[in-house]
Amino acid sequence: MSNGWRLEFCAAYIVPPCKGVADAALGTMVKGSSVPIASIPSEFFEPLFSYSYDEYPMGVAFVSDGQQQSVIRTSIRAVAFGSMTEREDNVRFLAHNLARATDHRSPTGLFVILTGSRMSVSRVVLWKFPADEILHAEMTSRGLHITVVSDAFSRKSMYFKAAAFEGPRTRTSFWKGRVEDLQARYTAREASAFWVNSFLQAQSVLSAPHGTRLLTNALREALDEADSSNERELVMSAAVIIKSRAGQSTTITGLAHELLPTSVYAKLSAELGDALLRTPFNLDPEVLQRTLRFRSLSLDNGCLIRGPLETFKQVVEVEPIDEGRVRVLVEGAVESERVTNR
Amino acid sequence: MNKEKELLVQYTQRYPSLVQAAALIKKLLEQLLKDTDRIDMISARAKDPTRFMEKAARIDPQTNAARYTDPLSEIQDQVGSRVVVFYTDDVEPVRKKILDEFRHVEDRKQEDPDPRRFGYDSHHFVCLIPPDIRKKTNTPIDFIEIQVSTLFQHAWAEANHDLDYKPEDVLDYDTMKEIAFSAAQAWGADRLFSKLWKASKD
Repeated sequence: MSNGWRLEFCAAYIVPPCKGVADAALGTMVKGSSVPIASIPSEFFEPLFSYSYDEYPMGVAFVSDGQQQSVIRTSIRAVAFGSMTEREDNVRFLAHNLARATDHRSPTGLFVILTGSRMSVSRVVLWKFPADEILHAEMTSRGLHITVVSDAFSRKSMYFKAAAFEGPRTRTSFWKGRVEDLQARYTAREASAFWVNSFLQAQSVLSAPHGTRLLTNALREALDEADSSNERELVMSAAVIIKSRAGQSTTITGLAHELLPTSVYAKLSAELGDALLRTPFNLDPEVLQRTLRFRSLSLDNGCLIRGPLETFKQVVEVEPIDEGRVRVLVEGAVESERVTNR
Repeated sequence: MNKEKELLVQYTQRYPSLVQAAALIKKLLEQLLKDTDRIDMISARAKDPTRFMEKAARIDPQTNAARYTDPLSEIQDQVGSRVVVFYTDDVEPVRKKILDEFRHVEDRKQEDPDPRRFGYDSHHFVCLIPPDIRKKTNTPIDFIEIQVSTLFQHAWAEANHDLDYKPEDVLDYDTMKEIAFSAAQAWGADRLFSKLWKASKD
């Protein structure tokens, strides 16, 4: 196969939305089987399987029980490394779990899991395709048979969810993976919560405090390194807007396109890579409050002084004169002076 | 090249990136715990190659086989960090901040389950290395270990570590009693100082 991957195991299940359905009923509602590698539409699946792991936009990590265990991770590892029976049992478990996580807002889907290896690395890719739109699946006496419905296959024109996990066969591998939700991707939303949180029992690799810290550290550095007062003003305005969005989900890429100077984004991209900048996180109110602190002083005569809190304390001196009036001393070199109409 | 030598070469190659990652983890923890009271020390280190090789060679006493089949990916404390707090009650606020910030796979209190025995106590975390630090240092590791302990737990652990007991060493009864006794004293001192601290606040 292309890129040196050797496909090893495939299984597929037709998964209707079963949220709230009794577990006993899942066996009759969720139908599927393992599928011989030779019978899958290879021209469809091979490019999808060998698609570069780093290109999946969102890094996720399984939620642990605190003792290095995660039920879903254990199942995915069993599909990658187990015997045929273990693989089939665990795919069924995953399909049932996906059905349990899916409510009636999502249509019936085709859940496909494909494993392969390249040298010492194993890869497992899971997809949920909208049933009968791209792929048609039919249960026969010999198992599930899959055919491609859409001739005009284009990866980007299709809506599906995917998750990829890869690593060596060690007890510590497969804690992290990457996911894609093409339906969400092109509507600028993060991957569906049901796919990541409910089905995979995973979360973004960036915690809210850590993602926010990355962002605020970048803003503070940008302020320190700004070449002009205009750029500094832009960064400070961005900081104020970002603070007002506390609690919202975001990505550094999204904010950069909207608010940050190009130079700040270029620096972050070089340092952290685009994949991480596209990873969603929630803006943490506490970190925003603690790390993006500005102080301003406005006088009754219309004069305004504003700056980062730490700098403000060091360079601004307020000296009381008489009857509530003050004299303000500010120390620094004048970089620019403007006259505006406002 | 034999397996051991090959492992040492591979670990030595990654060691500089581990040193860099340790420095960034320390910086992150300092930032994270900047406003937290009664932190005595924050440190981080990359595991020394000699110590790594010693650990990689360990035998599992239950199976009598090598404990690690792939030490480079299975040994999770190649970068380790320690936060030392004053009193036992100071552990929880630090624990909470670590769990909020890092994606963790392990979070457990390390203490002897037998209440009649005393030994090394601390709070132990295995966390995924933050993706930005992994990227900046180009380090191949996935995990870091963070330990949170009190001053007395730390002092006992350091002294005990300095004595360099190895698991295969057979310690005599008196020595084992003395080690347990010193651990019990550290445990008692922690209890007393926590009580005194609380009393001073009332």
